[in-house]
Amino acid sequence: MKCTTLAILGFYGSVMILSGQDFASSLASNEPSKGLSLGASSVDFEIDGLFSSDIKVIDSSISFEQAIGSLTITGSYGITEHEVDVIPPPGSFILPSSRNEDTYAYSLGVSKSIRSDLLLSITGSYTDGFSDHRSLWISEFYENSFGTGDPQPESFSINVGIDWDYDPGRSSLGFTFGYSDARIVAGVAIDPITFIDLVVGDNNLDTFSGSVRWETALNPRIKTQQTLQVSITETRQHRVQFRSDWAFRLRDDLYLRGQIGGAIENPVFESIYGGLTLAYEITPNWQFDVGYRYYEDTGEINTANFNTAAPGVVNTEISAGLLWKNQNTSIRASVALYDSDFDPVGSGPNQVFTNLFRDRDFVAARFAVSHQF
Amino acid sequence: MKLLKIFTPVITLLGVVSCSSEISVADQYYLNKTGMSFDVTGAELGECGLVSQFERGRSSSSQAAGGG
Repeated sequence: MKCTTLAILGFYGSVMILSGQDFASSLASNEPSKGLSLGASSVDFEIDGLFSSDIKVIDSSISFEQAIGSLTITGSYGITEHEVDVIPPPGSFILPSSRNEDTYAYSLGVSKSIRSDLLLSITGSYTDGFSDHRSLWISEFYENSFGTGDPQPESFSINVGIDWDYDPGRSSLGFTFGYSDARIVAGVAIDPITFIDLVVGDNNLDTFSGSVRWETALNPRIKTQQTLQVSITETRQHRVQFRSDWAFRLRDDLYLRGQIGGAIENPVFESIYGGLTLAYEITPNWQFDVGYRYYEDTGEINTANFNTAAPGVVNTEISAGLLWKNQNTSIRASVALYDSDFDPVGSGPNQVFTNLFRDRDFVAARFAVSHQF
Repeated sequence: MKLLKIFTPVITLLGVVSCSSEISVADQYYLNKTGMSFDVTGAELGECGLVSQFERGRSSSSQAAGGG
């Protein structure tokens, strides 16, 4: 965290030196200069936690946004700490074990207004480490079972976006195109022919994606956003996702937000989800909100090997949050109860992951601070 | 096809509700508030991103392939 703070300060200092401006005076004034003109800037700090009896995930991140002339630069740095207790199925000769791993995530982006109503942006991201607790659990299990060694998962992605405010202040269209290259924890299984050798699945996957987003204010009290996304991951068929978001101003101090969405991917994957959030402005500075979400899917597409696919799941979440804000600063704290219920893993090879895909109750917590300069 | 059957009512509702009402300057103030915005970030974002580890069917376009 100290290194990141120094890096951000170093970034500001470097821009000042290049633009020939005094650092202190540039913070005091936004007047344009002969060199680069520094515009609005903001910094966000967030920490999220997800806790159950055998899984703990804590994600901390800091991000910034800085306007420089006609450009806007964005960047972020995050650390995710994963802790899992790996419990083999009953009757297994493998002993239980615990494992901790940190994942580091970096991103850098730039956007530019081509016209007053047209914004072009490009963002690159790099992740070094396990993408989620499940990958870590499976990796630890493979190491204990087969001695597969220590994988080094990582991913790189790049996204290009275009936003068009065709009806400024009311409606906009957005298009994004993305590519990611991920090195994952490869699936491992016993060779069904020799029963001695190990069969290791593909550990390098490419994904292409594209999306279109339409946002509009239907009237002074209703806004809506529709998003359609198509993604294609190597070795799989294309996945289509649709999401519909709605915001209703019930009163000047009371808002209701709703969302419904789903995805399909042949041959068997389907998901559907929805949620409602009610937000009440206690005062102009304080806001309280409560929400409920539901998610259900039919089971995951197996990416790497036949024994890594998760069974179908039903998740429900109840949340409450408190937001304080003034002209430049926002602070939010929230907590949620998250219940995850998996379908039985069945009697096939997936039995080895019985304790990974078991029902759990989680507590989720979030704290975030945003400041604009 | 199943997805289309589920969301056809949403699309229909959009067409019915999309009455062309005027948006005044005063309305803009409320339409830009946190409770009415879809692109909030940082402290104004109400969602915990970690639950996406359990909801692969709700992934964003920037999420990597993942898997295990």
